[in-house]
Amino acid sequence: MLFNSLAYALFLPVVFLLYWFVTSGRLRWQNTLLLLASYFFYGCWDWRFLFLLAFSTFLDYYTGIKIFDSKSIRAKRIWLAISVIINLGFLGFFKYYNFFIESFERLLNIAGAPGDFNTLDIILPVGISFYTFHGLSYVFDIYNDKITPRRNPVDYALFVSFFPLLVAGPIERATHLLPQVEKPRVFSYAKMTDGLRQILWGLFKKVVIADTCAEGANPIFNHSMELEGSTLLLGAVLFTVQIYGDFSGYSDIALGSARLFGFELLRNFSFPYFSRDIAEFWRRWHISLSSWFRDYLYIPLGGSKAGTARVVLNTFIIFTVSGFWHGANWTFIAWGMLNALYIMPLVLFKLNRHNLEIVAQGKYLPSLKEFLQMLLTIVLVTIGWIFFRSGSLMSAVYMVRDIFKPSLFSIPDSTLYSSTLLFLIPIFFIIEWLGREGKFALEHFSLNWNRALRWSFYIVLAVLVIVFSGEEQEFIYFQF
Amino acid sequence: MKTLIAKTLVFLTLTLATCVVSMFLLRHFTDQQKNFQLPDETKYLFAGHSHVRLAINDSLIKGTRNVSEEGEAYIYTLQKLKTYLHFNPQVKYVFLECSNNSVSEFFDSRTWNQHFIKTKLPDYNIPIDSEDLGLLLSHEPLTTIETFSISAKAQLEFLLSRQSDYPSSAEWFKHRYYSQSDVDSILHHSKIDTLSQLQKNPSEHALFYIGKIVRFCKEHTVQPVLMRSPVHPAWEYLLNEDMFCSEIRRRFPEVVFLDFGHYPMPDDEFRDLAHLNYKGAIRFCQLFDSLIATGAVDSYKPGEYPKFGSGGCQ
Repeated sequence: MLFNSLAYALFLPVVFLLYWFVTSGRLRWQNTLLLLASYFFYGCWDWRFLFLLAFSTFLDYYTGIKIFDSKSIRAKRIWLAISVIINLGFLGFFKYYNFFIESFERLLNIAGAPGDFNTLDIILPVGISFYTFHGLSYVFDIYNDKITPRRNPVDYALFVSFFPLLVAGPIERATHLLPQVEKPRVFSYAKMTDGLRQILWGLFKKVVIADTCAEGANPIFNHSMELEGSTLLLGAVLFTVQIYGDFSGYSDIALGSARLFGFELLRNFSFPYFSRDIAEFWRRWHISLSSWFRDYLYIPLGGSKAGTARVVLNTFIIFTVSGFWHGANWTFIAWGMLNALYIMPLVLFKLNRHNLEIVAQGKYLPSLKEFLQMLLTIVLVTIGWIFFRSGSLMSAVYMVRDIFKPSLFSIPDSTLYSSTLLFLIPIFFIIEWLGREGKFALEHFSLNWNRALRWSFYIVLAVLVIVFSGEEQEFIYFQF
Repeated sequence: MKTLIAKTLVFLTLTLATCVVSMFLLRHFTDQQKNFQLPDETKYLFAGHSHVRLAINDSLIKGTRNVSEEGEAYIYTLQKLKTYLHFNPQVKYVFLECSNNSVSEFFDSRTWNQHFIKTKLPDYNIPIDSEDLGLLLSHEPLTTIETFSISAKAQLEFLLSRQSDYPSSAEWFKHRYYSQSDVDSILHHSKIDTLSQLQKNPSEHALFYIGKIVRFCKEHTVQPVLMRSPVHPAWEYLLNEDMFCSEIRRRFPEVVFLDFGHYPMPDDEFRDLAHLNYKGAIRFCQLFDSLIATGAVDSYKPGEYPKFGSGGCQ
């Protein structure tokens, strides 16, 4: 059941009405209802993986209690290790088994000792990377004495499998979400309308912007060897817009949906394409994953407080692992390492904590310097996305090389993209720019307009979503 | 809570109303600008599915245009012909492929095929009539509803891009070129000598829509001609020949049926048992060209079943 499907458009209001009307505000009933709805939601993809989700939930629930109850550090470590090994074991099997086998086979071939290993026809359970990380953050936090384990299995299971965040995040923290699960939620009209606006904007980003960009980006990336430099550049730009619209659109729908039930999820995006350097970009892009790696990997490794060599190594580790988390392909690893290279000068010269405030705050336009900084950042990011999107490392390298052919200055092939994008992309970024001081673009944007104008604006957005919604497209991050 | 629900319902109602009005306007403006005009000398259209698509290379037969497509069910052929005949009053004949498979119940799956629903209806921008819409809705409700959005998006893109053709899918009408023949291999390895019940039974939907196409052509003073392109004698669907011939004869007694189904062609002129390859298409087109050039096509009387080769429906 995709967020942009008719099925979800029916599912969400039904659960909403049951949640606020039928449960009579009783917390236990509300949580049970949400848990059942979440399992139904997940089962719509493939009911067989419900067992995996349930097992993963039980594992962390049980090991969490065991870690807490253990008297010795050694016992705590053993229970933690059991949880980490089994969690990462499942993730490794489902997501990386074939990658490791194929890479090992290639390595043996290079070494002159060819081997023949069987790969398996494995279906990747949707959302496994996300709910595994939910569970891990829970046991890590118990081990680090940040939280106490939950004894109520329904509350804990809801924390892991709450449907808005189940399949593609945001990757929640137990310290943030569990208290909300355990606390009675109160209906708030302002919160609900805020949630609905965020869902609307998320749908617009996904259905109208991202999916339309995908129609152009996909054929360009699939035929990158045959196209002109300008068309390849266009493909890279379209994918840059697509992945932002797709993933931040998903996150907006997730956050908006959660708000309808009284939950505030972690913010995942904060207008990353208006960043003035790559460090700022990574503070604003997929925030829940970046902060997860920062807290559970980078800081335990020593973070930026260690010596220079260690900082360089830590930075490479965190970006490489982050790239690898996205998928079992060398392209993702290269993408991660490329970003490590981008950020390295800022880390080494301690410039990575500049630009903490919102760009051009309180102004309509950025200064020339800010504009050039944003332009440079987006160029670097776009080159990175070529690696992220390409099918293989070599095709990514060739694509980057071919962009800079003399044909870069020719007119791109207009049959490869929808002409509606010429209007939609500028309008989209103007609204994002004007709304960049809010949590999402429509949080404050248009609120001071008179009601007729404001409603007309929302109706136009909704009509565009309906008109562009013909071909349901999966979210990119569902494959991770 | 009540305020929220009430306002949401008002919002949804206004959105749907705006959507309907927008779709209506998009269709209206697209209708004003779309263009399916063929050259003035085009007097003959070929329509149907893969058999005729591969058999007829319209560049070899003067005054013809092949608008068929692989796997196309008759309900979509009807929508296509509505558009072409509206734009091309010079067209005098429509040759509609009817073959043993396309009138069998097996072919019904092509009618409910999601790909065809999503592409065929938007492509021609036809206000599909309630009977056809009801049929699709009854079998594929979600896909059919999605088609409204797909159509509206295609229309919006057409209007914004100021293209000269709607749709930009001329690719379909290029002759499908297959140079090789797999007949030997098929005969040796995978020859089928029985049919399933679905392949044996006539398709009520297919026959109904052939009838609808025939009526539509006549209403527009266009002569409908049913035809069967050459197939290999070992083609498994010929096992339902009795059903095929009796249904054609019973349902369309007033229509000319050009039956090339048993027209003798050597194995190397077939791509497989059901389709001609490039070489076969050239030979078949020469035959068809002579039928048109000599006026034979104009001389056939309604209900006549001219004989081409031995066997076939008589």
